[in-house]
Amino acid sequence: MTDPTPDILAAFSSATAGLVAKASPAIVSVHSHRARASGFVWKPGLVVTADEALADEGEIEIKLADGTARPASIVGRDHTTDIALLRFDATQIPPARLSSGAPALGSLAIVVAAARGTPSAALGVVSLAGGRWRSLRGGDIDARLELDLRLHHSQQGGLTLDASGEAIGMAVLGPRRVLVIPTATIERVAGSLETHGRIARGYLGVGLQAVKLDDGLGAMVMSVDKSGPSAAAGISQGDVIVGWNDEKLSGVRQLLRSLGPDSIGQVVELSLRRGGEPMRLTVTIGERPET
Amino acid sequence: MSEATKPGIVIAIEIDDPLLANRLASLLGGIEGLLLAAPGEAADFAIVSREERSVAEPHGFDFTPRELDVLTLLAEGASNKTIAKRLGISVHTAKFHVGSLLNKLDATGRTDAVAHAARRGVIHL
Repeated sequence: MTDPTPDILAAFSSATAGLVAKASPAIVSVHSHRARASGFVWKPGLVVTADEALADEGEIEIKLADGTARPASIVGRDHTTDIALLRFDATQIPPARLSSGAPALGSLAIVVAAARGTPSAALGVVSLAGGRWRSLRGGDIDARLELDLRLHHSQQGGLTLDASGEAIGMAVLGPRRVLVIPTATIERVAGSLETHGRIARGYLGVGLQAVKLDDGLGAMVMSVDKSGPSAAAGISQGDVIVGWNDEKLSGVRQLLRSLGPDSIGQVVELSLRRGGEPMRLTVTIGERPET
Repeated sequence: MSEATKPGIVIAIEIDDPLLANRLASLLGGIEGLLLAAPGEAADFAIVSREERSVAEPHGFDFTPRELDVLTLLAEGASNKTIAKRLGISVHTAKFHVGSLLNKLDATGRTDAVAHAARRGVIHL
């Protein structure tokens, strides 16, 4: 009987090479001031890349798989989910195919990127597969996915494929680990960036300090933005917020969570203490201005 | 690209003590291939002071006052650029602080640290 190992390895090898070759036309390099990253064509004329790997100012150039370079402009960027959307004038490049499935722990993952204009690839497994999580800056990310492979800085923004060649997300560098921003998050955030140019966040217009009360937690109003929603609602410096829509305040995190992109325009009834006396005020959540 | 045409490494000195900053600038200014960043210019690296004393945290964290400033801004959802602007430091330095914070938080495994730290200061929402 012949040893089947060489055949299996050769078949595996040509399969991964085939998946990379199939995905690579949609992969681009993104050059910005002192920064090199990867990206992929999300929709005709639109490229998704890693926000962290994109310079804060200056020209942006996209290098395509065929070696040509095009200028690109920023449609929008969201640092909370590490997604940036760029526009360029090449609409004939077929977009990457994004899968909606969730990869299993231990399944194969291939990152297809373009380091400084040259296609590059990395192979590993999904080393962590968890549920929704919130980034340090408060971005909602649909699944916690980590890879056990090494990712170069310039490969940030590369496409992560599963073993069937479907894209499961964008590879980015976290602290000492490689993270995948899942396709569901990309579709949601890039879609919003395409339509609105930004990910809006809710705004109360107050500076808050957590304080302990006899019967729980409160948030003391240390400052009020004169042109913000809280000022319009009549909130004053020194007021202590103790409740939100009849719910007792459980902490700063609850307030952070309550001010997501969908919160704008919502009317909230705040329970306050002013000089120790209970009172209620109605605030319409505004949009946080860019600072 | 030949060695001769390679641009120098741009380094920023971000130290509050002007005497120390000047001494460093005059020492580093004489090294070939090393360029000192003009105020506001983007740098490849920054020299930051490590003299900031750490603040003992009731929750078992060990953050410098600067890192606490950065944490509060992170809790507000600030970008590196916004953090840099608000604290009057370069984006590179802001990234450096965020990176070291992430490493510390990672080491403690405390993902709720932002909210904990934000409790100590005023958070603008």
